[in-house]
Amino acid sequence: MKITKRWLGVIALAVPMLSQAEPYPSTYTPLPSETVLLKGGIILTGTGEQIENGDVLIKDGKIAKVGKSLKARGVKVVELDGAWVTPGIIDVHSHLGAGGVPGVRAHSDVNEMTAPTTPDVWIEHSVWPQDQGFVTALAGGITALQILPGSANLIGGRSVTLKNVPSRTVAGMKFPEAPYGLKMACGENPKRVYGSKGRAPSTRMGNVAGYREAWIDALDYKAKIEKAKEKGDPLPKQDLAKETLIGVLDGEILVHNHCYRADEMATMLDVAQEFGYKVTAFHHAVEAYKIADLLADQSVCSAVWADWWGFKMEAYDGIKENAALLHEAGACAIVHSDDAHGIQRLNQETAKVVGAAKRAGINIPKATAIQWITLNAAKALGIDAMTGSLEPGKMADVVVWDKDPFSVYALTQQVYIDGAVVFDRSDVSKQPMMDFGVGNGVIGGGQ
Amino acid sequence: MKTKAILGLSLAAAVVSSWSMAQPLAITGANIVSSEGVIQEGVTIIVDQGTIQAIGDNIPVTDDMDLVDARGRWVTSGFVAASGNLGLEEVGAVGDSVDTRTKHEQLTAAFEVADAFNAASTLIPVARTDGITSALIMPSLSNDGDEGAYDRIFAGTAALADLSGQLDSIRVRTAGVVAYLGDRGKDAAGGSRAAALAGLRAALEAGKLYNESGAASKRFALPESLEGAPFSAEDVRQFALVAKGDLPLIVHADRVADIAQAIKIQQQFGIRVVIIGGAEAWKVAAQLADANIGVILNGENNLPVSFDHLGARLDSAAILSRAGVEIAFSGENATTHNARNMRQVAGLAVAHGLEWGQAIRALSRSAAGLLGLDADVGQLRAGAIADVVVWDGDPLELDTYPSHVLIKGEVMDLSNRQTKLRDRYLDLKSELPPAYR
Repeated sequence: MKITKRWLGVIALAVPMLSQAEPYPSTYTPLPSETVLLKGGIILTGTGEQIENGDVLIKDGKIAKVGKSLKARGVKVVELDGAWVTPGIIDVHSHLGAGGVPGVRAHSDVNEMTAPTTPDVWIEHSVWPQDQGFVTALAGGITALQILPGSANLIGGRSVTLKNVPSRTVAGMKFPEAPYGLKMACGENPKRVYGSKGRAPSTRMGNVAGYREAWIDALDYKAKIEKAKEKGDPLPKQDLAKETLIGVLDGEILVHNHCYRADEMATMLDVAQEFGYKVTAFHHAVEAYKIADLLADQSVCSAVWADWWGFKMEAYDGIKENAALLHEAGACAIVHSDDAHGIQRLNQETAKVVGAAKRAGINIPKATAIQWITLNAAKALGIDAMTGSLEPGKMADVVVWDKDPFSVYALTQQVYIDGAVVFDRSDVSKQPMMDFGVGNGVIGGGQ
Repeated sequence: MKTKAILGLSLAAAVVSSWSMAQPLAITGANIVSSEGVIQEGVTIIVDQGTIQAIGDNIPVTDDMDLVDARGRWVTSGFVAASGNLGLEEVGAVGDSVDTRTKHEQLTAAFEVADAFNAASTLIPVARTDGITSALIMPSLSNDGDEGAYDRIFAGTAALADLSGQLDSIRVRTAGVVAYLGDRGKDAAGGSRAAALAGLRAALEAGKLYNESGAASKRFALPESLEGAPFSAEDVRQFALVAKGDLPLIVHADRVADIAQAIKIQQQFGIRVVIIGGAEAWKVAAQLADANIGVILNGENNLPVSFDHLGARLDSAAILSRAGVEIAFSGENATTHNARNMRQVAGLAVAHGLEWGQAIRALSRSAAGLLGLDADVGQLRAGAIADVVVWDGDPLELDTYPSHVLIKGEVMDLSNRQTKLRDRYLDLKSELPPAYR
């Protein structure tokens, strides 16, 4: 059994090595780990279960077993004493590294605001791995995150999913085998940015015309390639922008669509249907609760804030119960941050939704709500077969909390990524600090 | 203009006169946190005529009183939003709905936001539903990176408003003059923080000269000693109140060097100072305590978001409080639309070492107290304005909500636009569109 799994691992690793086609490959390798038995905690598995007085065995960087009274000889035992254990927290919406701290103009690499459709840009080429925000997020239990281009453009470019490990290069953070995402944006931002430059789009109808034009061009390019292949003619010149859009049409790149208003989300689903692609997740989705049934029917996730509202017109109808109402309607709910501070407390953001739902008479168990920042987030990023829950064979991305993570007083104790302790609140040697903070008075260390 | 002494005597009386109350109300069996942060159990609070009439463990309850059984529940003074623009803006990015700033050339310090307060704002019931009963409302800086002038570091004059939603919500029209040092003040002053400090000193000198000139000058003129002053007459009058110590100066500052300059200026001019922001205030906690300077702390920031914030840390509140500095809470995600997240920020500070009772105090008494407005606001004591909240759990926890909110003794409605939108879309299956609900 063990040998089989190990062999499977080798095969899985070998696949990307064999295919030379993918440029900018991940060079991530897990940090050193040991076999650890986390013993006697309250476990939220991420699969919808809560195990009292449960154990988690971590071996070879993977979850080996989850259950009660696990036995393992000669392994390091961590007595949890009633501490809580959850899967590593995953944020599907971050700009860390692309808009790093300090937030000076020189660090502003999120929006390529020079044309309304820029599917040719890849956010990983903006990510500065020395952003201190990565390590403060790590102290908040974030083990994986998606970095997205901004929302100035109708089509903003490729996203990247990262392992939240300190690395000298962005390639060293890239989540192996995670699919790319494509950032799209509805509503006020694109029409404001380009309308103010006196060019299209300046209206919501201009936005939609812009998406359609881009997809029509992509289909045209795709047809040309297919025709050339058929006839054995030379292929047209490589087109970075259309390559990415074809990746979406082929189902290899996942669409992450910034969209606030319910009616616009419905329109975007129509655009997707017109051109034959799928929207994986609406982001921000402040009014998703108004069309929770439609989103459930079409199996689209909504990544939402707990309580941001009113900062612009399309955010005026925000309600705290948004994620809870989506979940109740059978839709996929995710709580996201879009913020270097919020990302440090996604557990609290989720707890606020649960609290508001309780006030409305909707009882959401913690074992369910934790999925909004673990398994559901992993699904939206296409990495749920590898992480997002505490199940045997999955990556040992794990957080130990000193208290119930739905309490405002809870802090992470240890954070594991692929079985390696990447943050430990009680061990200064396990508290990473980015270069910017060195000799600069930056505090770090979970503070 | 109101002074601290007048406030202390008259605020409660002024509130009462505008309200004809129904019958008295008794809250019984309450667990309370005193304004010093001490916990007492089984307390009875009698509210009548808009004020707390009596509070203690042996207070008789009579038949004519409405009853709120608060056995085993926390009861606090209503929380006070310590920053932001409640009642001054509806939708942040919609300029038509925002009154927080002005580019008026002759109106900086004397720009009094109280006059723009909109008690009908939907933000007010949202904040109230989370136990916030009053708010400091602050002017914002209007210019970033302009050419710079002495007066441009002054955003205006802050006010204290209650969140009853009534037209007479302004409790203190002039609560403090807001000035910016640090990276934003530097931009406003023309590019260097030294220029921002020069503007601050010039303004205080002008205020001092105005006070020394004796008889008040004509409405739109300055006394002779101030001829050629780089300030409008209106603004100088406001500076004079600060220079006299009648109004505190609320100084935006994060870098410890700027905070140290503010301490120096406080001592040089003998004025009252409050720091807002305070990322590196913990580095001079003892000096701030000695100078009796309070800090409205951005309690959620622990990132070097600018070169002024390198030392930001989550245990700032604990360090400052331990040193004896009066603190209140703010934060980018805990102000204006989300003033309700002050509770979360306070809880976070407790997780990082702040004493729980001090966190409650910071949310209630301190926000008003550090501006010198503590006589009647944010306190559970006989004679104080009856802003009282009964909580269904630990007020700092994320699933806790008020069961009762009283403002000026009046029991508030706990629905708001958001709870109404929620209820409208709870059931998506009905035949008619939600517009008919």
